[in-house]
Amino acid sequence: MILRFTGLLLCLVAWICSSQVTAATPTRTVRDMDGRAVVVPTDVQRIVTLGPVPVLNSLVFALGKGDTIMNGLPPFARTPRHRFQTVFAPLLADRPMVQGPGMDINLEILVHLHPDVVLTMDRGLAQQLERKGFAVLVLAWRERNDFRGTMTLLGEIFGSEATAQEYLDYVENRIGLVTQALRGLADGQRPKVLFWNLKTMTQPHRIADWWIAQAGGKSATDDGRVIESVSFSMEDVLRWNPDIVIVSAPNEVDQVLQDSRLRTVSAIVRKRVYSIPAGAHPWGHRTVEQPLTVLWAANLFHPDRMAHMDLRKEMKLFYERFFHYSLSNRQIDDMLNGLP
Amino acid sequence: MTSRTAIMHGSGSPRGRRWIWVLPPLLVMAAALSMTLGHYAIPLDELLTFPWTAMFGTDGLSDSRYRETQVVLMEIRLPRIIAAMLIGASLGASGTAYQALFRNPLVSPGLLGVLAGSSFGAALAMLLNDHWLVVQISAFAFGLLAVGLAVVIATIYRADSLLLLLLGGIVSSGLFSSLLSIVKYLADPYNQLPSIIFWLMGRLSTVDAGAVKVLAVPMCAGIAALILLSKYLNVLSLGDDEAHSLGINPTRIRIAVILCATFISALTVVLAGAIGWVGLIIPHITRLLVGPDNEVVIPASAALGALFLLLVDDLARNLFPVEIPIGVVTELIGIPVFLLVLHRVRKGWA
Amino acid sequence: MGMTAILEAQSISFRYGAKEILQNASISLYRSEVVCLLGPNGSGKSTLLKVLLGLLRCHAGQVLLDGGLLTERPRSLIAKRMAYVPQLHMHSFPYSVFDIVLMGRLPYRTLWSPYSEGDRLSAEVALEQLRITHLKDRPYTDLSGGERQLTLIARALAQGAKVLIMDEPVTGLDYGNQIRLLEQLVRLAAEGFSVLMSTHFPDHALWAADRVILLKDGCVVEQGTTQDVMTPTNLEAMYRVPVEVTTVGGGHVCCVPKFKKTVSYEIGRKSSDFSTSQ
Repeated sequence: MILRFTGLLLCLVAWICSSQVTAATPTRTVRDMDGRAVVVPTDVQRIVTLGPVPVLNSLVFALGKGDTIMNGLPPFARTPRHRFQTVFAPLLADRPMVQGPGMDINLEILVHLHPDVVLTMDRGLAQQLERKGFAVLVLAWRERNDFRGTMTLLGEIFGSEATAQEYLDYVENRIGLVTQALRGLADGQRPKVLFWNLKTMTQPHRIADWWIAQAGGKSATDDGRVIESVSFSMEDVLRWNPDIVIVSAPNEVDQVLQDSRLRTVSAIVRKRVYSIPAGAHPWGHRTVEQPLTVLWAANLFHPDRMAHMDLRKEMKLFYERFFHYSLSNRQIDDMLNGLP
Repeated sequence: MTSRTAIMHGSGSPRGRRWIWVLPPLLVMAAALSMTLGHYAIPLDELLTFPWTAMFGTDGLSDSRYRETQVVLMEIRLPRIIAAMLIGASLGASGTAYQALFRNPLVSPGLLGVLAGSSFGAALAMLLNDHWLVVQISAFAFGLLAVGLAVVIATIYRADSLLLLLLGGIVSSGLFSSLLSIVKYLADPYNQLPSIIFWLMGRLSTVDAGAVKVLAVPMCAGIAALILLSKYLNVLSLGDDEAHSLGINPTRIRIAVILCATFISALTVVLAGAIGWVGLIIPHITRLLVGPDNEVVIPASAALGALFLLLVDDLARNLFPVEIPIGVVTELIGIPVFLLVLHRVRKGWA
Repeated sequence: MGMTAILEAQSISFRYGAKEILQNASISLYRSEVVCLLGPNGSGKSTLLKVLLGLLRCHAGQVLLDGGLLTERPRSLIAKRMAYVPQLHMHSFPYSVFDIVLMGRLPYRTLWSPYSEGDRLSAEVALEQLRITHLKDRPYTDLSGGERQLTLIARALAQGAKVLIMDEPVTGLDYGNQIRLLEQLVRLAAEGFSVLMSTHFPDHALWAADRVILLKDGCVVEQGTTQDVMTPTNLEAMYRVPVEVTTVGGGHVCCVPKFKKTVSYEIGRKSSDFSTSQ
């Protein structure tokens, strides 16, 4: 009994001391994408990413701060499809796992890692961790312009405002070039594109409607909806009769080409079924590699107009500049094939 | 007369039995109607001339349009309609058989664990392997395993006890539900989990035409077997001793019925995931219409179940632009229907 | 009774777990007779009936049906010879009377053959025989106790069985129905049936039985004609209650317990008369 009480007392003292210690370091207040005011240290050396970890990690990689990530990859990201995570940040392989299966957060390990900032996209989780004394930033990547706010925010906390701006300029520039190349494109010249998650019969990410349009296509599922994903049936696919089908994984390409129900669909007839490429994260979703997605898609939809842009060269450039990594030809092939 | 018998009260007279002859033509009409409904709009004239064109060749209709129409009708809608009828019939028949076997109107085909086991089997396969054939085989195998476990539990303690069989089913269902939870926990929350949940909710949208072709025969055979066993089920409901004295082996009949009912229920999960409520309410409605004689109720439940699920599926896929999972619709419709049935029965209590 | 027994139990013993329910019991049943099985609670009456029917298997001794071992006969054949009329119990499903009686034809059907016209005719005949045709379409669960018993007997008749094994058939019936049922059984016996029924009431044996079997603690204490067996001594040994067996005018016999509370009045005379005559 006495022992337990003493232990508790010591913990209390330690906690007070540690909070005193953090109070001593210089901090600033930033506003996260949820509008919350968060106090973060001016010098951020240790961060933890929670939730869609590969996506969050890739944002950090792009700012050249992959080494600050203190948490290891969660179980769902330890698959061949996510192998570039450890390629871009080798240290990740040895980090302890904070997030278990089923979005389960191990608080003890989190405390042990004593991060300066926690990054997440889950508001509920942010509130929960805030109560425990962590500095949590909620990032968003839903609306088309969210990436601007997110990258700027991250630039701010890492003190890499310049890199962040460089990235944003790059995005602006590349998308501008694509728009330029596609200038004068008539509506009838825009191919109808379906981005399709076969297993759940949905188009899972509204962002796809955007990059398809950016690349000179027309998304079959673009109906101005607000919700993130839309589900549809086989009959809808036949009704839309897309010219191009993009699936989420390489093995789904054959599945689509061999489905007898789809044999009259334009995309299947002309064998224009492709798997979305994947780098640090599959390109079709919200990811820092989005400009590459637009380039790849534009190349696919309008190769004649995009002939002057070498996609492979662009990829090499992008990853070197932002991820500080030189991709081999083999790796580029793998990425473009969707990382089987 | 106890409340339980009041629930079962129905017109056992021959007049009630004539009802069932209206079901087969009704089913055919419903199937024809369902063929016309869908997101892919087919003009009425094309629809009506389709059978003609199918047999005698296109005539003025552009070739590609015809081919598309053919794909929609024959490869998307028809398999789905047949699947809906097969599943409805199987769940109706096996629900009736279980209710007769356990002499309990609140029993459903999932009682002995087949639905929990199949769901687990499918989810496990999706977690580990994800090839569609593996998923289907796993669903079927674990469905049978779950029921096998329930029977073994009952036999270990004391064979021929209905109560123990029921408890065995509860244990088995509980076990496989927990295992399913573990699978869901371990699944990748961004990719695997959504597809597992999607699969489990019960959906006819991805029904595989090949699977329908392969499974149609065994499912019909299972339903036919239950119809043949129906007269023994009647006698079984009197009590084991009486059944015995009338020349049948109650244990053997029970095992045969459980086997058939489990077999076809597991196959429904393989085709379309776990669809609830049909196996519970259809037998009640049938009994209200035709009385308790299983020789009539089992085929009638099969027909009524097929009709019900077909109409429910039509609603699920056509009511809104987005398809509603069929398990949700059967529940939403099943509950008020059940209450209506109870209400009618309440009059019998007065 | 010089003929062979239709149903015979030879030295059967039955055990349930460690408990001996029947010990070395031997009984016989002949054509055209009513036999009552009497015994106190727990004497093993139900068990004996179930062993005779083949529902339970004895671990010692054997049961013979028509001279052949019961265990060697196929179940459906037994069902065509012997019928079981159990104690009244609740049914879950409201089958019609006709449906219940038709089920008696099950031993004649196989998995592949449904009930035939012949089966339906047999069921109708059985209903007529017991004069309950008017109940044909009524739900069984709606009937009175007496009507339900008659339905079950009709089912036994539809089975084509000539041997009826009945477990306490009059329990739960009102007085009038009890008497009427017993008279029905006597009538059936006269038509060639063999009826073995267990009962709690000595009176039933006295009124309806040709022979009586007394069962106590799983042993057959006495077996013989009613006249021989139904003595006050036997009954008192059986039920441990003093009784008197007496004949009333017109050939009616009954068993009267020597009840503790006695009366001094005469039935029939008005109780007010009695007080004035005090």
